[in-house]
This record gives sequence, structure tokens and C-alpha cells, in this order.
Amino acid sequence: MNNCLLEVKNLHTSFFTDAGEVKAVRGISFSLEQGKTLGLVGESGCGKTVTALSIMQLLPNQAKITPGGSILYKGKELLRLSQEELRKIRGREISMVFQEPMTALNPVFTIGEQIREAIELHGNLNKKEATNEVIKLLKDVGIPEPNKRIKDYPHQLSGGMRQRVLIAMALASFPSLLIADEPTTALDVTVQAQILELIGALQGLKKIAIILITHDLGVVAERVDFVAVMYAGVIVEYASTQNLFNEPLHPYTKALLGSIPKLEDKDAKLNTLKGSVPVLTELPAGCIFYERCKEKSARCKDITPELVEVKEGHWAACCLYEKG
Amino acid sequence: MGELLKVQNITKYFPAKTGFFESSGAPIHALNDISFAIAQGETLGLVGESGCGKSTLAKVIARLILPTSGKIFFEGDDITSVNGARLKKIRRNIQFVFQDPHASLNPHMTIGSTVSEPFVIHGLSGAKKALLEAENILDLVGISKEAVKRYPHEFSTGQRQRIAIARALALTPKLIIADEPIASLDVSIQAQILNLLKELKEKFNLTYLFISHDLRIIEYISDRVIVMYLGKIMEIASSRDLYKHPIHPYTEALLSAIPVINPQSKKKRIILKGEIPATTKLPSGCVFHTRCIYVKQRCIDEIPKLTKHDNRFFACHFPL
Amino acid sequence: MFWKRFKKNKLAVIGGILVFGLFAVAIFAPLLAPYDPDIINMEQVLQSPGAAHILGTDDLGRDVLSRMIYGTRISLSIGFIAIAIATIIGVILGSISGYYGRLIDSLIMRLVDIMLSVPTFFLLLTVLAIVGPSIWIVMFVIGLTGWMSIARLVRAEFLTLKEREFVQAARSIGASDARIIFRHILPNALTPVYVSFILGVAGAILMESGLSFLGFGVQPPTPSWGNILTAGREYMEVAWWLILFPGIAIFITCLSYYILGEGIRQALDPKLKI
Repeated sequence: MNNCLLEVKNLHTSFFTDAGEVKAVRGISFSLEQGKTLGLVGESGCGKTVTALSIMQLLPNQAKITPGGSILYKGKELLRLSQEELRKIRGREISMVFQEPMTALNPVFTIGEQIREAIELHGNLNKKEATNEVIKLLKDVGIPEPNKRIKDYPHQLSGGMRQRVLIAMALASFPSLLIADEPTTALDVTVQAQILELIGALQGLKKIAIILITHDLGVVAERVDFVAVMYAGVIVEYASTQNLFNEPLHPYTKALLGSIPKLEDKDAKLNTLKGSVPVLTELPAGCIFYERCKEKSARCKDITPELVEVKEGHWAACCLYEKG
Repeated sequence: MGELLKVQNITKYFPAKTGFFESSGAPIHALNDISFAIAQGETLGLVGESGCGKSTLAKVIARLILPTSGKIFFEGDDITSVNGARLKKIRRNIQFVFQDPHASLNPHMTIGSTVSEPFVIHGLSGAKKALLEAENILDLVGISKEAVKRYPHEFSTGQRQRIAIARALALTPKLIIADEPIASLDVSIQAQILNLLKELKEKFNLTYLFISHDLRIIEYISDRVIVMYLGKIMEIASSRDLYKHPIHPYTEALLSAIPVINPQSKKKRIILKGEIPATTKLPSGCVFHTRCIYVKQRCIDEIPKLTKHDNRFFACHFPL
Repeated sequence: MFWKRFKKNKLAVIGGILVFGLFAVAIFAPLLAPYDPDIINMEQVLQSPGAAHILGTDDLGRDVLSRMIYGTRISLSIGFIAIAIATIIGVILGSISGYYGRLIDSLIMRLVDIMLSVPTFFLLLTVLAIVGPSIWIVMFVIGLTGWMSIARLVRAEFLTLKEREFVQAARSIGASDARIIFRHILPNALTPVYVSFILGVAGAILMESGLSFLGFGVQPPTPSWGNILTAGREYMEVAWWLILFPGIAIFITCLSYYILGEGIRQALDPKLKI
């Protein structure tokens, strides 16, 4: 893989809480090429956000990345960088957009000041040049009348506009990788459509790689090149978007797809998953999905399946596809 | 099918916030002249984006807030301003399921007392028998009997929503208003709750008013659908008709905004311009004209009326 | 959850143990006291601390330790009953104010403002000067002038809680106002009241000591920490133990209440990481 921008290998992240060690991410590996989009999909608590925070190394204090894994960015090992070196990578090379646009903006500064700060931290422009850059960025993300809007405070903007401002901030330093954590979850459908369109257009324009974290399979189907489906801290299936939706392999992916009402087929009863996600402090032995799986066999209770390449470029972690 | 509930010209304004030194701004126009009926045994879907007034409408119908003007009829009786014992009787027949089961269950009460409380309040049975009744209902929604002694925080979100549904079912109501009942749940759990609601409807011959911002879910569960925008009804149609052929440009845009699960289908998407206007300053004429891609002069000047055509209602001068 | 967080705060645990210990002393006073606190023994006047009288004797030859042990009962019960009265009034008025809002809220909150502008200590002195000193009057006046902060706390909790969905859910199943207030909202609003109660007790103990010291509180021969201190004042230069030990007792008691209250507050506040 010559074009590889980000390569995550065997990443483990745990939270140390009163209730014990919560293994939020348990040995995940994936890679992302320059200019491509990867979707991280899963239900709440599957570890998708923790994965993103681990890459950025913005984890809360009680969380630790277990030694032994590796996160290679442009061939550099992120886990071995000093705080100072990391700070240079964050924002300049890798940017992040959060789910809740209101809390991610500082209420006491105008949006112009906040975006300019992002530019000034990483570039050497004077104030006037930086302001022009801010206006250009706001225009890029589709905010009307940007030279007036830069004097607005976050509370004067709607949710969709705030999310655009956050995207503008994330793009301020021309990153190579953008991590978007549920960027449209807090937004209405018509605004979601606008933002997804914007992210797509910007990617075409600036050739950045994107990790899109979402629970919405519809968003994934529309926007990403590759999908990693996560469940209880592991990747259970990895494939190109086409392959995943045409021919899902893992029973969990199948069930997820089956649980979404289809617009064409109204009377069909929804396919449901029984039960709920296992508690991460008391993980069962064997396959993590065993309790809820419809295609389980006796083997699954004992064997923890590895992620194997079932077809070219299509990986799944399930006993159904174990070799040998 | 008889009419179970009818609302007539419901309007709700929330007064503007008045500060100490200033009385700032205009009142919020949450609902504007809303009229429709729910037939016995149907599931009526109510869809719209945030701020369209769907939750306010639900609370007005459930008599949790009073409308500014307009009337609500339940089984032919005017219930708009009933009080005391008559209101209590209405409460038995109209029940509510809230969006967030973390917020709608009292954290200091056991599941048993939460679910048996309706029996106690309405004097239907003593505390001991009520607890047995609660166990039976919990069983119906798939929660084991041991739950009665436990507290809400010991349950997952999906289980909590089942408990909230059990509480709503306790009084065998005729109408259940469900306000975004699955919006805070994970996809796989959403499907469980949708199936449960469908099952219960058949078992108890219930009528639902189902509110959601998710068109896929509304389409799946509803017989008829009301589309709301900025406190007004844009369109009412059977869900089959609505999804096959939307008449109102807003419905069309909403439908086109749903992400498609199939990556091959590159369907035409209408990206609406701009943002939803503030409810304190409604646009003139048709409230949708600021974002409509087919807007003409007449839309800016004249308010379109909700008109009936072929069993469908729509409020648009230039229907599609 | 609460215990786990509370136990991490060592200081609060010590405070809790001390408060608990004080209660034990008050309850088992007759068993713990080496002498009868009221027996006058003119042969043993102003004995300094020693083997017979660990904390010495006072001007009438009474055992200081025994008097202090019995004084615990008075000090603690005044603190407790006074603040219980304040809490009951505060919770009821605060609930009504917060739940119903509008005019009744304005009326109650203005009453709070008026009451807060009355200096409690001087009001107490005036009342006691008119009707004569009595433990009961002290308790009632402290109670009747101490409810305002609790009313404000409860009102603030009600204002946010009454908008919560579980309250609307209760309303939608037909629950009456009284049921909603007492069964649904109040149990969720009590957390800050617990803390306020415990801190209030410390304040009331201090106030009682102050009043007794001025001669308006508990009257001799009934022992209270305040009046042991008063009696000792005249002999300060010859009998230091008469003022030192009651002073230390008041100090430690109030301190342990404060750190216990603070510890409970921290343990109950989910936003604080400890």
C-alpha cells in the first residue's frame, strides 16, 4: 500500500472506571488512502468515537491506549510523538468535526475570531490576510454573506450554520485527514442533506481523506468508499460500500440492514436483533455477537473469530467464514 | 371507521419572552390553524423537521398544554377545556409515550410503582393488585417480572422505552400519542420497538398518533401521514400515495433528502436552499416560499389554503 | 455509587464518623458520663484536669466532662430540631413557589427577601428579652428565620424538574398536583436539601452557643456547651480548662458538620470528578 495515509494496527483503548476496566476498543486495524472516505458504523457504545479520539489522542484522562498497537500517519508513529509534536499534527494535518455544533464552539467569541484562531495557530499570516482567509473559508462552506457573518456569535446561528462553521474551522489549515464524528446527527434531514453534499464537494475540491463516523447506514451508503462495521469494540466487517450493501457477510451487518424500514416494502415485519449490546466490563468468551446472532453454531461460543478476507477486499470476523 | 379524534383550527402562540428592561420580540407561532381527524384504529404519522410544531401539537391533543384557540373533539365530545373528573377520564383514553425514556421515567421510583401508578391514581385497584397488573403488562412488552423491584437506571434505553410503553398501556387507552418514541434508540433497538408497537396495536385495537422526523419510519408504520412545516399542515395523504407521489414541494424535498440504503441508486436529490425561518417571524404568503424551488410571486403574496383533492389534502398554490 | 464516591473523600469520612460519634455520645450520655452533671461538690471546686476529673471541675465542683457529655444532647437537639423546622417550612414553601409559579411564586419569593433582610441574631435577642429565655423559643426562632435559603434551593430544583418529561408523563396518566409535587418532583429535588440541612445544623449549634454565652439561651443548671463556656469566663485566668474544652467541642462539631456536608455535596454532584 503505497498511497496509505493512515494505518491503524491492533489498537486497544480502555477506560479505567469505578466499575472496572471498560475495553472500549479491542484490537482494531484499518487503513485509509489519500483522498478516500472510510465510514465507521455501529450502534452507541461500539467504540467508534473512541477510535477517533484515539487517533487524535484526545482521550479523557481515565482512558489509556494499551501499548502494542500502532497508528501510522504518513509513515509516522503517532503513539510515539511528544505532546508538542502531536499538537502540530492535530488541526494542521488531522482535523475533527464533532456531533454537537453548539458545544463545540466557544460562546463568547465571534465565529470569525474562532476560525481565525485556527488559521493563526498553524500558519504565519498577518491579521488582515487571516481575515480574508476566514471569509474565503466561510464562502467555501456555503455560508451566505460571509463578511457580515464573521461578526456573529455562535448562538446567532442555526444548527446547520454552526456545523458549517465547524467544518470551516476544521478545514482552516488544509488538513489531509478529516475525522467527522456524527456530523449530521443533530441536524434535520433537509439540513443533513445540505451538509453531506458540502462534505462531498469539499472532498472533491481539496482531496482530503475523511473518516465519517455514523450510526446511519443511509449516510454511509451515500457518502463513503469503504465501510468498517463495529460492534462492541471490534470491527466485524470491512468492505467497499458497494460490496457491503450488495452482499453483507457478517450476521450483525445483515441484521442492521434488515432493521431499517425500506421505502418500497411496507408490510414486511422488521428484522430485529434480540437483546442489546453486551456490557464491555464483562465480555463473554467466544464470539462477541453470539448471544444475538441468528446464524450461530456451537463453535461460536468458544472461538473468537478473526477478521479474515473472505473475498477480495471484503473482510469479516465470523466463524461462518473461518478458513480451515 | 369512525372518527376518534378531531382537531379544529388549533392555533398556539407562546408569548414572547419579556425581560426586565425590554419586551423583546414577537410571540412564537408554534401552531397555525391546524385541522385534521384521526380515524378509529388507524396509525396517523406526523412528520416534520425541528420547530415545525409537531411536539406542541401532540401535547395540545394530550391536554398537556392548552391551545390559544381552536377545538379538540374526542369521540365527539369537546375536550378542549374540560377539567377535574372529566379530564381524568380523558387521560385514561389518551396516553402519551415520550421521546427520551431516560427523562420520562422517574429515577426515584421503581419500575413496579411507575407502571402500577395509573391503576392507583384511577382507583382501579389497590396497591397490591396494581403491582400484579403491572407485572402482566410488563410481560406483554417483553420485560421480565423481576423488573418491578428495580430502578430505571438499571435498564438499557430500549428496555426503558418498553417500560414507558407499558405505563401508557396500563389504562387500556383508545389513543396513544407517541412523540419520537424511537429517536433516541439504536437502529437495531428501533426495529424492536416498532415491531412491538405494531403488535400491541393489533392486540388492543389501538389508534396511534405517531410523531417522527424520520420519513422512513413514518412510512413504515403509518396508514396516513401529515406533513408539517413551521406550524402548518403542508400535506395529508395515505402513506402509499404520499411516498409514491408527493404533491407539496416540501414533501418532495423531504423525501429526496432521505439517504438511500442502496449505494447504486443515484437518485435525484433536491437540496433546499437556506434554513428553516424562525417561528417568531413567519414568512408572508406560503411559509415554505423562502426555500421552495418552484416559488412564484403568488406564493409570496397569498397564503395557500389546505384544499382537498382525491382524498388528499395539500396547502400549495402550484401542486406538483 | 454515592458510597463509592463519598468514601474517596477521606476528610468527609472523618467528619461523618465524628458526627456519628457525637450522636452516640448524646444517646449514651448516662452511661458515658463518669459523674452526675448536676451534683455540686464544694470540696472539689475548680480542680484542674487530673485522674479523678479528666477535664477538671467547675466553680461548683461539677465534673466538666460529664457536663459536656450531657451538653451534647442539648446542643445537638437544638441544632437538629431548629433546622428540621426550617427545612420543613422551606421545602413546603419552595415546592409551592416553584411548582405553581406566577403570583404565588412572586409572593413567596418577596417574603423570602423580606425575611432575609431581618438580622436573625438580633431578632432572637429581642424575642428572648421579651418572653424570657427558653430552649424552645430558641429552636423555633432559629427555625422560623432559617428556611429561606432552603426554600430558594427547592424552588430552583422545582423550576427545572417540573419541565421534565417524567412529570409530564405523570400528568398524562392523570396524577393530581399533590401527587406530582410529593411523589414525583420532591424526591428528585432533595439532594441539595440534605447538604443544606447538615450545614444548617452546624450554624444552629453555633448560634445556640452564642446565645447561651450571652445568657439568653439554655439556662443553668441545664448544661450546654455555650453556658459551660459562660460560667468559665469568670475563672478564665485560674481555670483555663473551663473555656478550652467546650470551645474545642463546639469547634470540632461545627467543623465535622461542614466537612461532612461538603463531602456529601461532592459525592452527589455528578459533574465533580473525585
